[in-house]
Amino acid sequence: MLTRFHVNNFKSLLNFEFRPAGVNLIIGTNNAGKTNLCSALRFISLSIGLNLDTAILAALGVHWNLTNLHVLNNALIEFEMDCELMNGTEAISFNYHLHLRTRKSGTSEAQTLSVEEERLTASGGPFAQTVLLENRGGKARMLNEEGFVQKRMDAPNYVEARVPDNASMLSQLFELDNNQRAILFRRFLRSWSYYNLSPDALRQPDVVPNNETLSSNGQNLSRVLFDLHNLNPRIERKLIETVRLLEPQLEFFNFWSADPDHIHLAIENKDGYRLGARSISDGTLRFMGLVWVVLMAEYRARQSGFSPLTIIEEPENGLYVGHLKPLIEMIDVSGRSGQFVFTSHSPYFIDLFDDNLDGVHILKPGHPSSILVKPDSQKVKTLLDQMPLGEMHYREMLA
Amino acid sequence: MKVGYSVEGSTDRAFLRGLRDRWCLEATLLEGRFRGQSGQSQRREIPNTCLELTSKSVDLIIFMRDANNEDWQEVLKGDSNRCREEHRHLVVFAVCDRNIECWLCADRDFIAGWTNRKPDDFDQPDPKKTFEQALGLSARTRGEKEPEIASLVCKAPLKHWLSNKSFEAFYEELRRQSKRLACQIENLRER
Repeated sequence: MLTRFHVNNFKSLLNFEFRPAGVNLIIGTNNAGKTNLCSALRFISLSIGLNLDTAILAALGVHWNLTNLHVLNNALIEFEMDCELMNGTEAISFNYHLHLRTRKSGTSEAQTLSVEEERLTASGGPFAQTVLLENRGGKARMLNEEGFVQKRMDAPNYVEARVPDNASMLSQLFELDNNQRAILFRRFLRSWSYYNLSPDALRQPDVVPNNETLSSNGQNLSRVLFDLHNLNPRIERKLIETVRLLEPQLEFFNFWSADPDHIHLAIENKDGYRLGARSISDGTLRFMGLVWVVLMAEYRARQSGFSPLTIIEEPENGLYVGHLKPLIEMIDVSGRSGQFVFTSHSPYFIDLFDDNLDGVHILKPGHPSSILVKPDSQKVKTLLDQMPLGEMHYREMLA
Repeated sequence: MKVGYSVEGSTDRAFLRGLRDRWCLEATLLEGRFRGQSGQSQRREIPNTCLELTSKSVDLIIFMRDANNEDWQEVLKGDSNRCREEHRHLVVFAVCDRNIECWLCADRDFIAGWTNRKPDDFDQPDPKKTFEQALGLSARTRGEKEPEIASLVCKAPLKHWLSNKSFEAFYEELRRQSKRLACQIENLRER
């Protein structure tokens, strides 16, 4: 599970630290920096599978103004994180930092990224802040983990190499026994997902290539439900049962495909009536997407042995407020069946965190940096006798 | 000093800003919020607004609203009864007999001079429309309207407003609180 995430000089985040609990809620006014934090997390995850420039474009949609506008002459962006993972029965604390240099690309404002410094260390078991891999501007070294664990050598034995600096070293690892812990950490980062579901995208029948998971806007919902239907009918059943809250007559999902690039989704009711994705309401589609995300996070946590991080922006959009509670009740607050980060503006959604105040983080806009504040739990608990948490947020009493 | 307040609209807000500028420039004004827009919602939320503002360490809380067609004294009593015991010592209720414009136009000579109108124009039980027309308020944004009204309140001969009983009651209560807070509010009764 991710326990600490530090960002410096990325968008509005300067020397910014986020210590997530199992299930987290980030709240704040518009322009407070909530999406910047989500984008930073998303970028780190995407940098595992893409080169840096492609990853930043996928995370932000642009590749300019990446560094903080108020800090002049600092072209370095720094990310650092701590997480706890199990490698079999071995509990390992990882620390990963990635420092990137930004450069203006030609005469345009576009910025390109290169690795200035990257390091992954492990502690726990035979490791004590042992460097698993390190990359300084393309000059890299990697620990022979197995040799180190079996103490076949007097000192850590590193393999040295030159690596391209337009991608992280972590993204370029081969899956070998010699670096299984580094690979475990990479799998963990790759398991992170980000969602900002859009009804228009959710209605698309497009098959998104090479994507086993729901894309961030939900564009391949029909495809992931089709896969669920074929590969995991137990979870599909659970999803249908949950969606019945909104569509009581829902019996099963139906699919048809005119060509390999499109899968059309329909829901069919007990009387045999069929509703295509175009006829399903925005709220129902979003709810279906959200339930898929929550159920699959739980499934993947069980399969992988670690808690994937799932970021969901404004889950309340388009949903009747009464449906938010059943959604949040599906999630184990400890984070064991998936670690979650939500952003929200809805007082009703915020109310649902009144028994999980450790997970509430308030972002405040600031110059030069957004500021993250934790509410005073004792004070909030006292006030909860008299007003709900969302009301306190509305009245700006939390920070 | 921090003064918390809850108002129904921007004219009330500007009125309080004018009083602050006139009597206690160093005070910070902090607006309490309530869900909804109506006076009914504002009234319902009196206990929560007190809770909000005390949690932000205010020294005084002012609830301001119009009585409209009700008896202002009854409204004042009803609002006071909604306030929890532990907050009562901090709270002042300002209920305008009919509406805030009745206070702002209480000295018809002054308001006529301010707006370049005739005093007789304001000689009516409810001068709201005339006041707004005279200041061209309907065409102004909140950002333009509030400084104008605040400035009016800052410069008005408030002692003449004491002829309005609801303003007089508010003034007396505010003056009583000012003694608790060791802050100087001008004595409008001095000749």
